[in-house]
Amino acid sequence: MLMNVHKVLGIGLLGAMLAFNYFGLTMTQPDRVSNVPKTIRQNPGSYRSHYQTHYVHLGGK
Amino acid sequence: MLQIACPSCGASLVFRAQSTTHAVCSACRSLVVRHDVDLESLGKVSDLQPDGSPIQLGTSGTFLGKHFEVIGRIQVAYDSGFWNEWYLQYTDGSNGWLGEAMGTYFVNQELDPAGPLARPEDLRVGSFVTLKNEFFVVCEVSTSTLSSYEGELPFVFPSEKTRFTTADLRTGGQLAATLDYSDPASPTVYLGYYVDFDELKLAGLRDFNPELENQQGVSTSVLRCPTCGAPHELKAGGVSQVLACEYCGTAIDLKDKSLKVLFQVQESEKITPLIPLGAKGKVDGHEWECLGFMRRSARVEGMDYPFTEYLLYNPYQGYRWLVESDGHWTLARPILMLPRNLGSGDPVTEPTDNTLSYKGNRFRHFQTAVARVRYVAGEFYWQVRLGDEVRMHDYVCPPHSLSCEESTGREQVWSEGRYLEPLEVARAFGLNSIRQPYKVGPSQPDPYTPLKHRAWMWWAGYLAASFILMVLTTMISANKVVFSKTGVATSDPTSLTVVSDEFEIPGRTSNVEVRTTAGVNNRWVDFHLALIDSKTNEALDFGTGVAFYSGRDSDGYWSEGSTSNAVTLPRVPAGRYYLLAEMESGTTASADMKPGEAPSRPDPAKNFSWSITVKRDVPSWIWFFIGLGLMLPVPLWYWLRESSFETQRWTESDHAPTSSSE
Repeated sequence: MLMNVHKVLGIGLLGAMLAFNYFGLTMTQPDRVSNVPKTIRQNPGSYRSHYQTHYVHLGGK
Repeated sequence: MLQIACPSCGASLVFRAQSTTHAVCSACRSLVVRHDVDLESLGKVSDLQPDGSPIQLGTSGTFLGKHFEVIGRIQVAYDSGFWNEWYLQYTDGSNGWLGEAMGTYFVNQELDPAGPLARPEDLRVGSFVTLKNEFFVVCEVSTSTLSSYEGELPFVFPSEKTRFTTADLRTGGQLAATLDYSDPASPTVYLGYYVDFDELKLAGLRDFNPELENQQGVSTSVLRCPTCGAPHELKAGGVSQVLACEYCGTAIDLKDKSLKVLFQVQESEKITPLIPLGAKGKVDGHEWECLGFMRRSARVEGMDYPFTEYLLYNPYQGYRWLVESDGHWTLARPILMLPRNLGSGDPVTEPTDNTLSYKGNRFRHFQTAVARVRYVAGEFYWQVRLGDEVRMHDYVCPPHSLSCEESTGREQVWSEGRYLEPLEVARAFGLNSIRQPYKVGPSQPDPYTPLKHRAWMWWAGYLAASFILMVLTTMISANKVVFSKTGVATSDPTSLTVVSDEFEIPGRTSNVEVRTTAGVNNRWVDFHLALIDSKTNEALDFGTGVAFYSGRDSDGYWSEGSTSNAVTLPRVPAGRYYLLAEMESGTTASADMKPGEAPSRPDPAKNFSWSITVKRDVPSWIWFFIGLGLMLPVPLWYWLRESSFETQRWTESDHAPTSSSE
């Protein structure tokens, strides 16, 4: 029984891997913001990305 | 072929082989010697003793591709009964011998030893003898007596009362030898191979059909128990040495003409065997008859562990033991090929707890214990006694097992076993019910091992298939740079904000990778990014950052982090986009922060170069690794179950696993 589940899982994962690659699914989920100002290019300060978090800050040795 | 009249009775006497000098007249049993064409009678020979042999004069067979016919026989008596040396005439004109006793077969030929042989009194069981550059182990030295002759022979013994010594030499293979000291001044070596009955492809065998045997006057004998009068039909008459009456427990010495009572089993100790005496069953493709039943117990650390053994008999195949312990069954057969020590490769002369090699399998030592006979019923081919003790050394390679029984002053008896499922035994002997196995049997196959192997095979198959698919995906992915921009950040705040020109993201809805690079050292840079659809004004807000630190200390140069990082955005439709990027930079490291402190204080004082690259339809290997991880639990589960099963098995052995608390 478990072996059958294993086989089905394997085949399913292969299919999922192909599909995820084809449709471009990733682990990242960016924020989608509608109706951002049309003037950003002329006035860059009119919009800021919601992502203001600091990322890879390593401590050094 | 020479056909002459018997000088005693006038019956026709045939000499088929050039090498034969003697023949026994089948009509009057006179032993005749030929001198060219003249015949001389040497007197009558004793009658052949019933020994249960399936071979007879005229039996034909094949060995190493050579066809042979049995033309003569020397019957020899020894302590355990009789054995036969059948004289063979091969179709190519050569001759040889087929040694046969109780279902074991040894095809051999006389060998010139090319040197002096050890004296019989110098031969010690377990010592080595070298013949033809091969090491042989002396396994048995016994004294035998001529019993009788039949057919044509190349020689005869000086007298029928001749007692002579023979030594059985064995190896870790089928090769074996016999040293024959019937002429002490000129001992003879016979070199050959132990073979299975089926390998010889014998034809023209004796028929053991009881009705036919009755007609031929060689019926299986029937005797009555001297104590209770119960009738017993001896199935292996001539070979059996002891009969224990299953009704009253009286054990009779069948080799004693007066049927001497050997011992008496107490009524209170009587056990009813699960497989009735006389029951027939088909196991391993052959039909076996249950001749005997024996209960023994193995003493381990002061505790007695009983087990039951059924002696099975097939006139062509010999004897087998069907052993039952805690509901686990093993079919065991005696073997003449010695196991080898795994390390040295030498045949085993003294069983130890070393791992052994036999027929290509590795057998681990399981247990050594003293086994004692508690109860017997039926026929036995040796002088069994209540209380008999042997030292048993058991080795396992599930579903196979090896066992060596050592008794004081006797040779070692090796047997190989194969685990049988209880249902297989029940079906074979028509048993309505059979005891369920308790715990894990020493040679019980681990049911999780094949499942574990299959699960790992599937995992490996998945790994290969998914890797190939990923390589193909990588090859057909567009992986196309659709935007790239570089710049230099300075102390001017406007240099830290960048809005790109519009660029085209082509193709089907797929992912987009944004890679950011900053030429920094001992500094971090955060990129706050928005990919904006210029047509719909919908933004995808995301961020990434780089940090790179390096220096020198007492260990030399060190570095940490990277000046490049990437983020992949899912399902971005085709269209025209532009990118908004804001950069922050500083030197404070996370490790230096205190709890509650702001992540960093931007420190734009230092210039650094940067670049942003946008790629369309980038293959993502993350799904490959996630898939491998998701496929792991099933093989790991079977591996854990297998380990648990093996722990239970070895808990009952001399090598029980110890817990960490011990």
